Amino acid sequence: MVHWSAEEKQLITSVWSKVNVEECGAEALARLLIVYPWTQRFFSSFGNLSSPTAILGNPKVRAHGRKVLTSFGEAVKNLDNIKATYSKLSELHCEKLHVDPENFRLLGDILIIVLAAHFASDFTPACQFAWQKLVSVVAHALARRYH
Amino acid sequence: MFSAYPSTKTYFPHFDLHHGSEQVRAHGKKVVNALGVAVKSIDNLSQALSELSNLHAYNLRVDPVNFKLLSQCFQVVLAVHLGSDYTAEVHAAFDKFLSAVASVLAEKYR
Repeated sequence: MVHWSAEEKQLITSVWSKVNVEECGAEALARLLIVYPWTQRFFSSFGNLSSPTAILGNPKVRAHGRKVLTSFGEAVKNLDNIKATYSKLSELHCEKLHVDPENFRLLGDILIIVLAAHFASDFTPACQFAWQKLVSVVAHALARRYH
Repeated sequence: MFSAYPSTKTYFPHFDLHHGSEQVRAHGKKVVNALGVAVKSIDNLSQALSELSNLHAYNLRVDPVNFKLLSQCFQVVLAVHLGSDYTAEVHAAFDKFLSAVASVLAEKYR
């Protein structure tokens, strides 16, 4: 089980409480598809992904980004039990979606950059530490049921 | 980087790594200046960074995984400072650039 200090929990929950899940989720997923274009391989049914502008404005990308980040919120609510929280989702990503777990790491790093751009100097090094730890734990939990 | 990824501190046992350390500031400046050289020679990174490449391969031998960690932290700092000016396109270009620099730094490792 992951150990979280009281400070880490506070840094995570206080940042999360100020996040606009819809905007942030859309931004993070769009950036994943823009910064690492090969990740578009999972979204051939999403329509126009031909340019950064198209991706940023694509309603399916935005909706899916929101869905993904909403799910991320479950980790924030269950910091002491992230493994169990993502057990089913892990199976889904392996058996149905066939997503390489490396993509979870990529998205986690991008999410942090989006948070940094949004929160500016409020996103302190201590904040980054706690959030890098969180995205790493989430990525690990999502990869855990792969076989 | 030292805060977000404590394992990176193992390469600097000889430094004072407290926040605000003069040694860290000086070294950070050195690294960023080298990135500046890279930016100016973006179409010829291998040649422009040849000496640094040798240094990292034969002398420093920093595990290449750490280049990615510094890249992440550098981009976090850029995002903090540029806010919405750190657009998706700028982000993509910078990530690609830092990745290319990292490749060059590691190219003589073996």
